[in-house]
Amino acid sequence: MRSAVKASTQPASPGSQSPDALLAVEGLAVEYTVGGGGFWGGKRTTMRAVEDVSFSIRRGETLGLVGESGSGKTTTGRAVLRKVPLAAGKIVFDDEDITNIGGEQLRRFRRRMQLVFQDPYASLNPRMRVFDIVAEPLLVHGLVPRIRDAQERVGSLLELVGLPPDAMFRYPHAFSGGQRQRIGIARAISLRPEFIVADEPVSALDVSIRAQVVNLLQDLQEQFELTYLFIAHDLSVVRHISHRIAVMYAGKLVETGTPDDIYDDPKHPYTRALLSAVPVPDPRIEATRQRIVLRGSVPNLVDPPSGCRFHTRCPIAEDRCRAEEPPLSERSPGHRAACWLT
Amino acid sequence: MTTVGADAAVVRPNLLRLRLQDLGASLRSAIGELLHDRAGLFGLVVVLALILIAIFAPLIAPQNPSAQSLLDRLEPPFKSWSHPLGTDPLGRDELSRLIYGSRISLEVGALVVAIAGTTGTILGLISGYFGGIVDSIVMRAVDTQIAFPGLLLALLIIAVIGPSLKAIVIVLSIDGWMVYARVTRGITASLRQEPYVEAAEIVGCRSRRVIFRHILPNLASPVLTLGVLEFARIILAEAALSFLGLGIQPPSVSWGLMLSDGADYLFSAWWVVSLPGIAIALVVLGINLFASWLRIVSDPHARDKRFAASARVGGAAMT
Amino acid sequence: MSFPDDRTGEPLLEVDDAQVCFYTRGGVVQAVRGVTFAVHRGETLGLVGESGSGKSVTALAVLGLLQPPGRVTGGDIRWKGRSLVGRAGLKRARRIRGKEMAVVFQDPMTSLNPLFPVRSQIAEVLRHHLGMSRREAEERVVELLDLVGIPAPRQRAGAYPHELSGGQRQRVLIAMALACEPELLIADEPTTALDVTIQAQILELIHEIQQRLGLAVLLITHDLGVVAGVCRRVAVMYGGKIMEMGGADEVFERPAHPYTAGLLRSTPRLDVVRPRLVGIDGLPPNMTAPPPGCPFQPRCDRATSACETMPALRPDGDRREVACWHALGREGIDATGVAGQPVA
Repeated sequence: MRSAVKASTQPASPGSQSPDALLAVEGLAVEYTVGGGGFWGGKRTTMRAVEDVSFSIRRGETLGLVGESGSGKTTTGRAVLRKVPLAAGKIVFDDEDITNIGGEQLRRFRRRMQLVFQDPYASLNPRMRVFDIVAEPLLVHGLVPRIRDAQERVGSLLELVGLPPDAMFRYPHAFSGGQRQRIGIARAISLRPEFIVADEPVSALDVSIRAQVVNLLQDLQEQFELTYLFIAHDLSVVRHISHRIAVMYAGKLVETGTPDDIYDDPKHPYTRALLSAVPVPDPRIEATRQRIVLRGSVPNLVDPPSGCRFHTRCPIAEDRCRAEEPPLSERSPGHRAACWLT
Repeated sequence: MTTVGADAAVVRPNLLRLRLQDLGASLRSAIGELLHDRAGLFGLVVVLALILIAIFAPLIAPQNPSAQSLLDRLEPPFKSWSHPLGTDPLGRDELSRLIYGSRISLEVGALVVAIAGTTGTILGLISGYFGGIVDSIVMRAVDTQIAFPGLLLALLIIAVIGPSLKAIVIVLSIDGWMVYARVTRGITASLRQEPYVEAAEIVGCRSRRVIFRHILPNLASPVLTLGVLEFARIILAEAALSFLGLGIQPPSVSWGLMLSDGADYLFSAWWVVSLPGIAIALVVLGINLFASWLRIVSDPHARDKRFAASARVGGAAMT
Repeated sequence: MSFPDDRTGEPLLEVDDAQVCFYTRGGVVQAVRGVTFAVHRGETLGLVGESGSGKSVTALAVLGLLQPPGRVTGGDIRWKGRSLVGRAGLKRARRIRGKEMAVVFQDPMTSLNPLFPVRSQIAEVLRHHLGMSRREAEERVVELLDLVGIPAPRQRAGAYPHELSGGQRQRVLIAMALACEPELLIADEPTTALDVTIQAQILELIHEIQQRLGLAVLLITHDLGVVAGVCRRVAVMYGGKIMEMGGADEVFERPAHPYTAGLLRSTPRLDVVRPRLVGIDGLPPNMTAPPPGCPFQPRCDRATSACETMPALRPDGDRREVACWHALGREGIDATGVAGQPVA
């Protein structure tokens, strides 16, 4: 049995270009246009889905990015892969600034960073056979001179993810959700990337199947020294696989730290509310539990609240929270939270 | 272990054979469905008949369609073997004219669908995939052109270049590409959001590959259905233009021309107008029925619904 | 079977060996294969299962909402003793649906008509079933919105669905369900599409309303945590059949069926730290060709040749029924692997 995932003793801090950080993100901001525009386009209303997000991930480690809808976690994942344009900020991958690269250069970087999708049913082209799906990355980057080599590669990739090699001859619809997700993972690792963004990879799967896929990701990480950005809204799943965790709310980072920091000693009121909202499969505990139930819902980011974005729902909000936005401040080594009051 | 690492000669044809099998399977199931759908079958028969008649016209037609014979003018149908469907005011054989007229209908229809369809689809594809300013320009062009009355445009253009088959094809193509552009743009734009298309981009596919490998196959069936429906509309449009004298000119034969020839004899020699009219109506009906069947067959949801409805009737004996 | 506490008198809803099939081009999908349970007045039953277990289809069958290619092919479903199956039954189902038996579905985005304000959608239910006048209905709408915790209900009544958040929309749907004071509320994955913090709000609301109005609740979900918070009884479904049924306290503490134990084990918990996630090996069954006998057999580590025949639901202890030849006895207590783990 594997030993528990250990956090690094020297946590990589946001913004610092620590020598073994594979990915470092600084001041990331992403803007979306929502409506507006005249006959020929023109002025539109915008909203910042992600604002001033900074973190770094060491090689071989997993950063769990947690948040609910509207938190900006999915957008952050896409931004890191340069899939959506940045309004501000910097992305440094393996000591190279990739914030503004484009065209062929970006395409070549894509070999080193890949994505595992949330929806196993929609992320595989239903008209393509599994072989075509998994071989496509190899083909597109010119890694296979002949079809025969591709078949061998695809076969071994499928075996790596726990599927029989002859699965390559079938269509996605012949497989279950968990199996399709494995196919998606096989596709993602076909180029031997160094970094993978896993965007809610198990949210759409049955509970009894989730463990299979999460454990697979963990095993692959060990085997190939992969680095993960694991995006999830399910706090319980993230704990097992993450070396560090970052919690997002309304586009901003509200707390970062090791899993023990976050789960045992949460500092931010939102993190505490999030933890208390997760139902526990034990009726006796549920019956006597003291829940922090938040009122209201996530604010509209077209016109975000003043000061701390969480103040509209925070059970302990005070005047200062409404006026000034708190920065991420260090509570203990590597454990940061953005709150005036805790 | 597995067969994958084994002899390439055994493994490689596997994929090719599988692809051919796919094609065969879908054709077989399509034919199976067709045999159950009477209306669709009728439509297919009509379409095939049209194509065959048009191709083999010189072999089938009993007479020269332009041969005039004032002696035999306005002979009613079913009276003689030399003119089974009668003659027109100039003594030309109706049956032969009908047969040769089908050629024009087919030619114009096929050409316009090909030209307008290709142009419209490409523009729609580019517009839907790249979005932004390109999308705005193309869609505004579509809106503007649709707003312009088609008949007026036809008159203008033909006034300049003179009436002929070429003129009709040009006019109808200019007036026909917009619907393809709109349809493909809509489908492309929505497909672009699909995770598997995003996956292809992240994996590193260039735009061209994404368009041809991931998006185009999904466009094939709606565009095909649209093309077939447009085909019917073009036949009607051609007939109208020729009827007005703006299209096919004698000595060529067109069903539209035949209609105009018979306009003055509506009550005295009913067959001169009715025969081409029936031909047009029959062909358009057949094509529409065929297109309707085509749409159902290419959409898996509609197929399942149909299947369930028929299964219900059959299984009504159950609890 | 009699359970003293909330199960008094005649049951409101009886599902008696119900079977549902879907006739598709790919084959006949046997979604529900002989499901039997009852819901009494004021009782909360959680119907738990993963995808393909047949739980949602069961709910649709109860409500008379099965569309072709699906149909009830066997067994009976009774509301207060009268059948809801067959042509007359479906008519009856239509009459009581929304009135005596109400439903809340999973996706609040698509369950509300975007063209009409919330007020008229709830009023529609009141006027159709209770024949209220417009004025009466509007007053009642405000009452209901207040009941489900919508702030400033009189003003919000005129809002359109897109002006409300996901959680608020779900509250509106609950208000609609409660409009005619039903006796049974069927909630099909009511919080699955919602954020965890909103889920907590909605579950608390359902719990509160259930207590206050003495409603019976049939809660359908895949999330064991949700069941633990709301339901006193739980039925676990797999492969179209019920594997285990009993009081929630007992089932969670000592699962008798290996599937229930596996499910509990795979549900990650915040209060238990494990080095590695645990799941259930294997795949869910193919419902067009389900295996003979017990559907869990291919994935069960206690399976023997006896499992080729499906065992009936038989009593196990006082408040429990299990369908298993090799039900877990006392060893079920630690089958989840919870006890003995370091509590965080």
